Amino acid sequence: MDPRPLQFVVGKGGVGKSTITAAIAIAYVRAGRRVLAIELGRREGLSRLLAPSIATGAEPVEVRPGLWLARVQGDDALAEYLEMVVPIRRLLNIVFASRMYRYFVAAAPGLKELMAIGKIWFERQKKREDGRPLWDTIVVDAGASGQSLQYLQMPAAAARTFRKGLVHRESERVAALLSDAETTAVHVVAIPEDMPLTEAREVLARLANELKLPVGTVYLNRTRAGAPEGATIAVDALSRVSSDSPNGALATAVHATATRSLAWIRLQEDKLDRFERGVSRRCVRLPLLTAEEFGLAEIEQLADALGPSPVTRTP
Amino acid sequence: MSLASLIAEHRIVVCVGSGGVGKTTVAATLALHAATEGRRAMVLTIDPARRLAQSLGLRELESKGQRIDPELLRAAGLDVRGTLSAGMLDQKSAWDEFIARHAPSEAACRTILENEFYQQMSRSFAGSTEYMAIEELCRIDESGEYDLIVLDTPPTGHALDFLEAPQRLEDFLDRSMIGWFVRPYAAVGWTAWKTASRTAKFLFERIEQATGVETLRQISEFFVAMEAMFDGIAERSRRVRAVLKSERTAFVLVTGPDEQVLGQGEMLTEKMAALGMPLRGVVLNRLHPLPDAAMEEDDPARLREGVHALLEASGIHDRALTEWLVKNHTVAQAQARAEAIRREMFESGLPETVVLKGVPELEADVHDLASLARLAVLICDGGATPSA
Repeated sequence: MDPRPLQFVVGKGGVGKSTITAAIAIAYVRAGRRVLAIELGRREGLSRLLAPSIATGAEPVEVRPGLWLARVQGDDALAEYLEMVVPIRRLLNIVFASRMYRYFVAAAPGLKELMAIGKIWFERQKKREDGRPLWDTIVVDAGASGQSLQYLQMPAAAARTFRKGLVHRESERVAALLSDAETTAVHVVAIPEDMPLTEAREVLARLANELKLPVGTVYLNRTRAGAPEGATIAVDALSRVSSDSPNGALATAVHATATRSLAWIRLQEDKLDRFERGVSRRCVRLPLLTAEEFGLAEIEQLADALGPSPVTRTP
Repeated sequence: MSLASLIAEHRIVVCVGSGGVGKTTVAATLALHAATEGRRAMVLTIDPARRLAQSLGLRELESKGQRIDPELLRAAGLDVRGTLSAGMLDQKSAWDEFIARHAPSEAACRTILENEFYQQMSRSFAGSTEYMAIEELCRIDESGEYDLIVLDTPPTGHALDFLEAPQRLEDFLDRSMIGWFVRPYAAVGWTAWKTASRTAKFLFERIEQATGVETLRQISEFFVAMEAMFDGIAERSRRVRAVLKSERTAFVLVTGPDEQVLGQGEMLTEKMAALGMPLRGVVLNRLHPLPDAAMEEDDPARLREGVHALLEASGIHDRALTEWLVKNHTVAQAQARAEAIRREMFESGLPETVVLKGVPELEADVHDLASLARLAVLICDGGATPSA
């Protein structure tokens, strides 16, 4: 697994980013790390998976031993930031309640994204009493590709837009953290279908060429295990069973599901082979899981698939 | 009512839903279906990943829209009596053209286009993509070139985000608020402004410290230049909203079997009705149904026994193959059952007036015209039926 202390998970909508973020977090907790999982923006996939019965907010909450969870939203982060720089509560309350403030927060371009990433930077700076960082690993569920890249590029963009002043200085500090290949990794998630794979290729190219951020691992989610040798012959045999024979109906039913799976496996292998050869990045396949209700048990299974290898440095 | 007749009765179809559910594909499919029925149909997408272009066999999509070559359609085995066109919204140029249309003079237009605040805002203001999509939709509608326009909305975290976008833009262009930004610049400068109220003084001092005065000057300049255009834009915005709320427009939710929205059918329809944009149809995409017969045997031991016997009888003596077939079958059963439950729950929250269409996952990706055509048959039941 990746040793870097700050990890972002991005990918096309619906490929399982929250699930994989949760699994990565749990795999690190198992390795004895103190982990903060962060959900970025106005969604609740991660908290629904990791702590369905606990109300989570901007302040990290311990949801199981070693694992903390926080939700970071731009406007809250801005309010929190102002609270830090302006200690007069009464004045702040007047500001927060004003239409003017709400208007400004809504209108100022990129401000929310900047504040949200700033909050993550702030968590990364926190220290324990012995001077070690408070969090061994921070994993961020950064949302769908378009949105998450907007978040990730905002510090650098802000540093360029505001040529001096506080915003410039702070943005530069955050941008430096994000682009530090020793500290930060951006993981990309895809599933074995053409369009998510295409988007993953585009995101990988943008991360490397345009945003210049360190790319971590490509997680290929929902991959099917290959069929055992002889599967095709067995499926053929099932198709020849007469429907009047004792197990005829069963043969038809099992034949139908097996044929469907074989078709999917063939398609998948073809796509993944081409993808893996094309991107020259570390790709990790994660299994397709089916459950009536996707929950912690499934996350643990995915964490099994990620671990238990010791935390090592990737080339 | 079928989805096909819902499409046949409307001139504008807006597909909403979160990302990753096949919304773009469904939008293209609905337009293709209308084209085969003889209508002049267009699909408009905002998708920056150019996925629609891929599925239509085009390398790039132009923002103005382009007609799909009838030869390509024929080559894919499609008998299209009408026309099919596709376009992709380029957000940046859409905003620039919007400003150019409304600016009172070329100089005013240039001031805005060169303003840094404007450049940032038109790229990243929350809701600006959504608003421009609706604006483009109305322009294409007004051109009269099409009988049906299908809008593939930007992937949002939630289906409702899109519908609330026009309101957000109107709030943004709220004259009374903008006055705050315009006044100080037009008058004596920030110093005069700061004496206005304690809140404003505080806020502006902070912003000044944080960003430097230059940024505030940019913001102010933007609003001063925009002021002359407000009446025009407000009027336009009212017209745009009227199109969305008109009888000619239908909203169709596209969702997958695992989406969060399935637990919120009731809430969603109520909210959409309250916004004056009622939900008319739902495409429940990528289902994995099994025939009833395949659901029957659900005791793993008996299933294993049966499959084992079948393989033995065919001369195959490999336990691993039995295990694979059994596991594969029970997983498919579990998936079909879970989806059926979720679908039922969702359906029970929908009013009867909403058309719901379940679409099975295809055994191949939908990424070319031929597979779009197969999907069209599944979604629209092969053809539009005239409504009663």
